[in-house]
Amino acid sequence: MYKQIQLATHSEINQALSFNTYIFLLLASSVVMTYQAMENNFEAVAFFVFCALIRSLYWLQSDFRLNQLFTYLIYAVSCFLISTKFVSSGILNGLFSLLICLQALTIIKLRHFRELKTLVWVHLFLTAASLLFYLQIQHAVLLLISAILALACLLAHFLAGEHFKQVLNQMLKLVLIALPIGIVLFLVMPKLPPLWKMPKVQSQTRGLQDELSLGDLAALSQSSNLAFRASFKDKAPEINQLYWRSFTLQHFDGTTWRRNRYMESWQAVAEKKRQGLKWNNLQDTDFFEYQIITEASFQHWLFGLDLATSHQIGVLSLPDFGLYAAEPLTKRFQYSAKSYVIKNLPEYDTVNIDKLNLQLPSHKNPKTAEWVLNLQQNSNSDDDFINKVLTHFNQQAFYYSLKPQQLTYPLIDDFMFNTRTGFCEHYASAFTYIMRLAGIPARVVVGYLGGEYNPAGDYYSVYQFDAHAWSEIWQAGKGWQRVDPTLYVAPQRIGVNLQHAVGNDEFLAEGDFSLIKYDQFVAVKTARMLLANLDYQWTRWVLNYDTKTQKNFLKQLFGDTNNMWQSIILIALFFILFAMISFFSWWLFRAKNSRSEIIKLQDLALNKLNTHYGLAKETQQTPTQLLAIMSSEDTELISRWQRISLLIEEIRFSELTEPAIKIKLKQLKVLIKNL
Amino acid sequence: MDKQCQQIIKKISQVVIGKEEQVRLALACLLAKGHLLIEDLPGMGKTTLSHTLASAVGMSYNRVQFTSDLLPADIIGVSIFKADTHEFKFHPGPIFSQLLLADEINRASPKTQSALLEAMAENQVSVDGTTYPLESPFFVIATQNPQFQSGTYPLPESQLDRFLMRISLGFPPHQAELSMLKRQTQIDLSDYNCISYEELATLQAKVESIYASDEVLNYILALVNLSRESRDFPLSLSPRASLAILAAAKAWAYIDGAEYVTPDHVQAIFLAVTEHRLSPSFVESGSTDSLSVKLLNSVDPTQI
Repeated sequence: MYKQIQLATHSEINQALSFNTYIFLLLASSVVMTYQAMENNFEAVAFFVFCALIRSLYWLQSDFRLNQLFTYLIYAVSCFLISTKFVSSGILNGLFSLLICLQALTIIKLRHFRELKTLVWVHLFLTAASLLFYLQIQHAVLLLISAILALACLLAHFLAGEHFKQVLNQMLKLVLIALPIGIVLFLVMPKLPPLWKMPKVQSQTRGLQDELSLGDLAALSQSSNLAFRASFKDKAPEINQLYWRSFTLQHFDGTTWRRNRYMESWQAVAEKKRQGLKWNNLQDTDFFEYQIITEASFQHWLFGLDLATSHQIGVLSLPDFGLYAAEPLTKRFQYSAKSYVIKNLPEYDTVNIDKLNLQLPSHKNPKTAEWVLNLQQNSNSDDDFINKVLTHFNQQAFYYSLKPQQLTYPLIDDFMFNTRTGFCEHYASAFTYIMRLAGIPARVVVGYLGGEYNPAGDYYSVYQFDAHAWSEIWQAGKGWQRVDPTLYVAPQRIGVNLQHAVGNDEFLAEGDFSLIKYDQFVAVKTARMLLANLDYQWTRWVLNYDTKTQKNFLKQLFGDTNNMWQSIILIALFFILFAMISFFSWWLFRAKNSRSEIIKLQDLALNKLNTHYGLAKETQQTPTQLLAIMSSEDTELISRWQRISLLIEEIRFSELTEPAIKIKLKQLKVLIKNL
Repeated sequence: MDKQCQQIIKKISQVVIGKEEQVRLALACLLAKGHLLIEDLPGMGKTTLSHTLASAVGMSYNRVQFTSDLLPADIIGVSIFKADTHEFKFHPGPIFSQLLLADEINRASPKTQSALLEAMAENQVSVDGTTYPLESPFFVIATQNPQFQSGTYPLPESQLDRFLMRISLGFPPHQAELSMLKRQTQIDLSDYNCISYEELATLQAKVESIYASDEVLNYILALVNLSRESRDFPLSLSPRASLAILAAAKAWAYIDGAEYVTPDHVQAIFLAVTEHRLSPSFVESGSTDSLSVKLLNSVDPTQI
């Protein structure tokens, strides 16, 4: 009794492509090509659009033929596009460009099923490739739709002659059946390591850079992109203690802070030999445990609270207390870390402290040097001196701003005595420089401060505008201590967040559109938090579902040990699942014809009439004829039954369109319900 | 009910009093382009009905009283040798009219009966090797006496099958007969004309275009098949019978004012269309031993 999808025969497969097929192909392509255009393949995508437009002319004019010369021209253009892309953007973008151009050339020659098949397969490949760059849930959903549309394009070819909506309908049913199978496969299929690595493209690095000039972080603060997300296991520190350390900068040339050779050698060891530092004797102290999911930054820097350690493979500790990834973060990366709360951090390599952290640029800042000398003479100890410097920042007219004025050389002098306006890196650099002038080993630490708590998902989102720089000084016997001069200038930055510190007008003033700016509207904030949480859970449970989590999941599901009974249960479960899917597909594809429905309704009505009113129908009687046996007093029943029998008659015997029948069936249902 | 048809029925009922059902069936038969057989005892108004019907729909008609010595040539016509032109000239018989009223058809010899029925089936007659087409459309309204009466030749099954319907009139109800008796004036049938012959043709076309859904066709087939499968029926309904049921049901639906055929319409005409096909000997229509009633009662129209 149920309708099967009528598949085309062999000869029909080779027939001309239907218009539906073409529309589905264009719809599917439009999604993927938009993604490719965003991935720097704009020229190739434009070429594809051009070719698709030319192909569309066939539908307008059936006798449309391409000029031979024009065809050669198109080949030449595509060759040119591909080769320039290879030269200008390297192998990866070049390959994508090649694929898109081939798609374009195929679509212009699209005649037969063979070409259509090629187009769809390459389309699916491009869809998967786009997922490498766009991991967020909304992109995943869009690309899934694109893939479904591409498959619908094949289906439309096999269902030639069917209406567009019917094809879509059939496709959705197929997707509904495929979805549970897909989920099961996702959960139980072995996760293979990637066959190739995403090549690192230098220009693509996002977030913090491994050198810091004055104004860098202020520029980064215009970005509302996510940097990473962290969820704490049991308890979380106060928000003003969330100093997410990324790395330290020790070499200052008067303009820019950089990593020094010593740290770079550690980095090299970490990358090549995958060896880092082991911190010992940390067990007794208080600690926090947390999970971090970074965004793809294409860099090695990880984030952690002091003093962060991790047992995860590929996550290494460096002597400057930072965590470092052995592989660049080409995609979202999840790791767990444990931070021990130690106020004074021990130095690993005490021998080199002075050499590394007292370095001064050859470029002098005479005014500052003189001021430091004066202040030092009036101080009775290092601690007194440090306090006096910080008090100076606090008492004098120093301003915290996202848009500091351009400084003139010597920079520190200009900042300290002229502009007195700066972002965190200005204060961190100036303070570190002053410390070094005074002979106290100091360095700049770069990372993020704070984060936005998402109560629904119980995690913190740290954005690029949370980027922060602070100082660290070393004193004999005390070790490394964090000093954040920004705290003395703009306490709201540390206590609340950047938006509070700089005000809504300046916050994200030059960045791209971001919903965060509109947080004063409760609905916007709620919606934004909700979407963010959705993406977080997606990342946590889907994107980061790897071999380890899979193992844990299966363990939870089927227990630890393997015995026969469990295998049997497993097999039985598979059978049940298979049966359920089969039943589900039967249910979806069963013939939902109005005929069987009206017969059912009719029986229901007759039954009701029999049980409620004792009016039994004789074999040969039609519903209309039952009116004759109803008592003439019961006008209510008679009028109701008149309407019912008329509707039954109309639905069964009159010439009605499907939609009209559906409407009448609905009316009939209501009438019978009230009978 | 369709207004035009209502008017016709009303007019005829003024003459044939108290037999509205039969009048309606007769009209349906006409609209379905079928030949009609009226069977009843003498004096029940068979001839009156057929004459009134013919004049109501504006048909030119010839009446032939069938007797045992009636020859085929008396109906069809004869070729007579003309001395002046030295050739035979065909003189068409009464069959060459739009409507032939064959009174007491079962009084004629089988030879004559079959000549008429052949003409009914083929819509043409052949005389001396020449074929003459009949009027188109061409109708026969035949009346016959019940077959147990003396001096009758019962029509064979094959010939009964040619008639779309067989109806019987029965005694008029008391009131009807009373008003008939009270009526003194002679009836002039020309007063009872309602529609022209052309209008009849349009009506017939409309009837043909009445919609019959698959379900109602299945209902007809279920009825017909039962007569073929069940042992209770010595004669089964032929495909021609199925066509007849459908055509008659359509006509009935049209008269009813409906746009589509329902099982009610099928049931309404079923006895008239099938009784003479299932049991050729005279059975009072609708009686309990009627095979057609048995058939109707065995099929549930809601379960097809």
